[in-house]
Amino acid sequence: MYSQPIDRLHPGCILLLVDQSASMQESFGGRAQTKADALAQAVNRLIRNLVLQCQRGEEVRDYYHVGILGYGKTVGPVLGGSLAGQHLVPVSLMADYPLRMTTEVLPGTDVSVELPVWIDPKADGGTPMTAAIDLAGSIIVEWANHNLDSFPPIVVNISDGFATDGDPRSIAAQLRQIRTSDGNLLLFNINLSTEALTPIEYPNSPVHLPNPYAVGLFEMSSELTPFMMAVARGMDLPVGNGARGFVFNADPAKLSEFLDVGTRVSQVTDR
Amino acid sequence: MHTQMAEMVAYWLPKDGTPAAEWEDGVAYSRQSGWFAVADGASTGNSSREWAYTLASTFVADRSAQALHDDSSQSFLDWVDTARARFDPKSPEFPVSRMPEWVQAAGDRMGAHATFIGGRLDDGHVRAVAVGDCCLFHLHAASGRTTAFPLSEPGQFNSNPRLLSSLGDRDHQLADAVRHYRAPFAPGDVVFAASDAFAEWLTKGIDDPDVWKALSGIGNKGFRRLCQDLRMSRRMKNDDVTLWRASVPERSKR
Repeated sequence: MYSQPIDRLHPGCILLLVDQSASMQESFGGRAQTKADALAQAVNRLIRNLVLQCQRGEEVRDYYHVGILGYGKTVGPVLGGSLAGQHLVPVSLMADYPLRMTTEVLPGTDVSVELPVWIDPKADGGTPMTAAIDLAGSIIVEWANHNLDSFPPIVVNISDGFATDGDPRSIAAQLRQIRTSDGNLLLFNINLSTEALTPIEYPNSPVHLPNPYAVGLFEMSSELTPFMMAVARGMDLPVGNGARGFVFNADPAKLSEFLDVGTRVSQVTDR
Repeated sequence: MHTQMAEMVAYWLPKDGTPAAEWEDGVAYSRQSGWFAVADGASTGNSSREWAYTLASTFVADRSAQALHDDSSQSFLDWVDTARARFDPKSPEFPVSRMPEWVQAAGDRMGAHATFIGGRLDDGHVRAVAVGDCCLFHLHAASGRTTAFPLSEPGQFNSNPRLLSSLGDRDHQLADAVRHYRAPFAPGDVVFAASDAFAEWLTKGIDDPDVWKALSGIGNKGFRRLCQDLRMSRRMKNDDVTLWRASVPERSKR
């Protein structure tokens, strides 16, 4: 289980659910940057890294299908431009069609580089997380039916608050039942904090969680795979046996770290 | 002994399920000069295939005795600099990139990477220099034993070998990674050089005379069959495979 290498015949699937509710315009982890800004930045960085992982020879190979669903005033795909309206996109198309390029100076250098942008910050409306998970299920079940022998899909839900459209736990449990021959779908959750609080990372028990909401997110989260555990330990992260893919009260650094750990599959081969 | 008369042959195979164009090793040799090289382009990053090709072909074309000097790693790294100067992934001899410009630019900033082994058969000796996990195997006719270089046990192979970069900014970290080999090359001896997947399998059977006997006479079809069998039985990982062999014909022994 969770050992199928990723190749072009067995692509991986990564679907991000991003909170775009009004509260995302608040500051993030006690800093000046808003949660919406930091989230867009982290997601753009993740996609860029996925694309660069997939460059082989003279091309970008479709080792992954990637999607981003937003939930706030509306629920649906957030990719724009040529990818508008698409739920899951082969990574080579992500490479070909960013919304635009921005110029940034590499830290500690005077070198300017062009960086791609796929999503912009957005903060408006409530937090219809349950509807987003429901939509994710309808998209992913179709993907899993077409990729029965692939590494199981990974869904990462990034939010700063309670669902405003009902308890998402039962629909999340249904989502986790989607499977390939290599295991059940992996659902991970990260809760973003407005204030600078101590994050609770990768718990393997709900005992120390501060409130029922945090316990609910814990219950919705899958355990990390052995490979992800190894990656996390290699990054000196506190993961014990049975650690769940869940961080509560995350700051910007924890958000990036979490996306790095939670999107690691066992192995990407060169086929 | 006239080692320039050595017979040389190379076999290669891309990863199972991939076309020949995606073979990302490089191999070059010259019977006349006795020089040979095998390089293995790292799987990540763009232009690694082109870098592996450039390293192998430049090493054999340059015939740089300096690169084989075993008193200092710097002599070899200086030669790598000359290979870098000739590295042009946009040369018409290579496939045209289909990557978006920003991906190409990011790849260029990261550089291309490859493991390498190169050497020379001459004056009754075999000399070699290596960085990473491309290996040389020297079958000594007199003793019947086999020497492996620079790695000799399966446990020494991993997914993070030391690499030669197309960018020179990290060469100072490579000084301890450059390995040299020098040994007498006697009539009847056979030398193999292989990229990591096949080399790892060879280290498992290093004391099995049947393995070496079979490889000493293997042809293209036999090599392909052997690799398919090793992959299917999971005794060898599904990676690009390259094997170069040099031996001295019977008549040259006299």
